[in-house]
Amino acid sequence: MAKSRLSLEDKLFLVKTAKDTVSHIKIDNSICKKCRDKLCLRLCPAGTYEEINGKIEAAYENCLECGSCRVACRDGGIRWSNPRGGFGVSFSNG
Amino acid sequence: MRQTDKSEVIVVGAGPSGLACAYTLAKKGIETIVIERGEYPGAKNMFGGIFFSSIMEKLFPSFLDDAPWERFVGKRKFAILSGDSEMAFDTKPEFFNKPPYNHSFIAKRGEMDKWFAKKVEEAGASILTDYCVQDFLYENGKVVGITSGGDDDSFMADCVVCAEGANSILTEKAGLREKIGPERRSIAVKENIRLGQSVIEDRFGLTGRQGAAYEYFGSSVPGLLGNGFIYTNRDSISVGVGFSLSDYLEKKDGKTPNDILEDFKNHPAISPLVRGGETVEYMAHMIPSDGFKHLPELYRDGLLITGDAAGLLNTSFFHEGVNLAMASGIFAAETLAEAHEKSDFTSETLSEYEKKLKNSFVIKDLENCKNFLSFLHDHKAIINDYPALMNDVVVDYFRVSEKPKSVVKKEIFNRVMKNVNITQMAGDMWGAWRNLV
Ligand SMILES: Cc1cc2nc3c(=O)[nH]c(=O)nc-3n(C[C@H](O)[C@H](O)[C@H](O)COP(=O)(O)OP(=O)(O)OC[C@H]3O[C@@H](n4cnc5c(N)ncnc54)[C@H](O)[C@@H]3O)c2cc1C
Repeated sequence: MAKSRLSLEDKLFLVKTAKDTVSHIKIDNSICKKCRDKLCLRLCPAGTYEEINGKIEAAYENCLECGSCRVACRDGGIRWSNPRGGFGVSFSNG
Repeated sequence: MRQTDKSEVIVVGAGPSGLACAYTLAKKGIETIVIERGEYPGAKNMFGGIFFSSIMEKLFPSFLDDAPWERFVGKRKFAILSGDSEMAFDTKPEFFNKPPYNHSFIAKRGEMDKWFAKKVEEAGASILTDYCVQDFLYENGKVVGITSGGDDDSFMADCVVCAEGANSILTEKAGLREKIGPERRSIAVKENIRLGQSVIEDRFGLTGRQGAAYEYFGSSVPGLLGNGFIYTNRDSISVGVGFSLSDYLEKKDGKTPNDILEDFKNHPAISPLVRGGETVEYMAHMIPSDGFKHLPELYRDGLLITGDAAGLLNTSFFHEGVNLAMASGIFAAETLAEAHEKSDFTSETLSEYEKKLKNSFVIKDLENCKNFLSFLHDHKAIINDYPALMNDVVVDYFRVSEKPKSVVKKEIFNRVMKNVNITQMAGDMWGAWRNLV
């Protein structure tokens, strides 16, 4: 049987989000530079984090606001706060 | 312009915990405002899920007729997946299938939290949405209000109840616990998949408002502490996986949470159930796994912590969260009513809250399963090796061939002896009985 897999891009497209102009995720690359694991790159269910030219960048508008990256990042390279009121995801089938 | 408003109590978070607290306060005539960061109550929330409704029904006897539940849980299945196989225990007792339906209703938080919030407003509390609390305000070390840290008004109160849920940022900021690490949380991803009402009823063998709750252990989340699930809504299903964050980070096989969910959906036991469905939404949320041994401080001068923010979730097989959250919200409200009477919101008066929790099922149940997660973490064979072996044994036993059954039995025996250390397994099983059940 052919396997049908939905890509993450397709799924993120379905999420209703009010996009803020400022990011609720701040990255301190001076800390990330020294991080060996860079767990955020695979842990985020929305694939928010990417390493570009040796720097961690966050596509904050994709964030599903679970907060796992904040909990998993022990060294504090990720400074995650809730998006401002009125911004971020709105789930209807949670 | 920034203004400062005042209320007797501020509740941060319009989840089941905050709403149960606000409802109880409003009914006692205490002026209460609930502050919620979502566009509406439920907008930021996701669970499996089964809404365990015994407490809700005490607040609203008309829950069964009124509340926006999807289906009652008429049928439960606990399955173990291994490789391409499934072994399951399926139950649909009569008492699941007649009122009060074992107080178990499949629901969507977007609907349920909104409905609950409306009831809270009718009881006299106000609810402010689209407002994200960034910090508490203090006076001489006592919490006296909240601020968004931005251009919004701030709010002052005699006492603040923090019901912010599993991502407990404010609780940490207030110093009631250290920054949580991956040992203290699980992560879950879930899809809502539309199938249509008649397909669901045919596929899951349901009639009317009857629903199915299926939980999958073993290789549903390979090598990780957690499980996969399917819950039937009215015309869609909730399909998801949840697993320990620290387990996941240790495993390092490169799979993302979405990969694990897709693998689960494509398991031969699951794919016929999701086949042909249209994914409507994709969501993620954390689940506390603090348990009894790692509860935060529950109160301070002018501050109480309730629900998931306080880690008050039954981390065993029962997966009970919403009812513990509601119970803690109600205990907080009762404590505040006493404090209100005395006009004393110091930690000494508020310590009554912890006593109430300790005397109730909330802390007793947490204590009862205090070793559940650590035991499984230290005895990985229980989730990895034994289920697979048990499955192989069953498969071999029922395999049709001309081999005499006595030979088959002998082969199975040899296989088991080769694969497990019997003394260790006996020890594991005894430990499982003591720590898991
Ligand atoms: C995948 C999954 C499956 C689950 N399955 C079940 C199940 O089947 N049955 C069950 O009983 N439990 C289940 N649970 C657990 C259950 O969802 C929680 O225990 C319950 O929701 C806790 O309620 P709460 O009110 O404490 O927190 P939440 O429901 O998380 O509510 C917190 C509220 O606070 C708001 N908030 C947070 N921070 C701020 C801020 N700074 N300012 C303003 N507002 C804020 C949030 O937007 C949210 O509305 C499940 C959880 C998950 C993730």
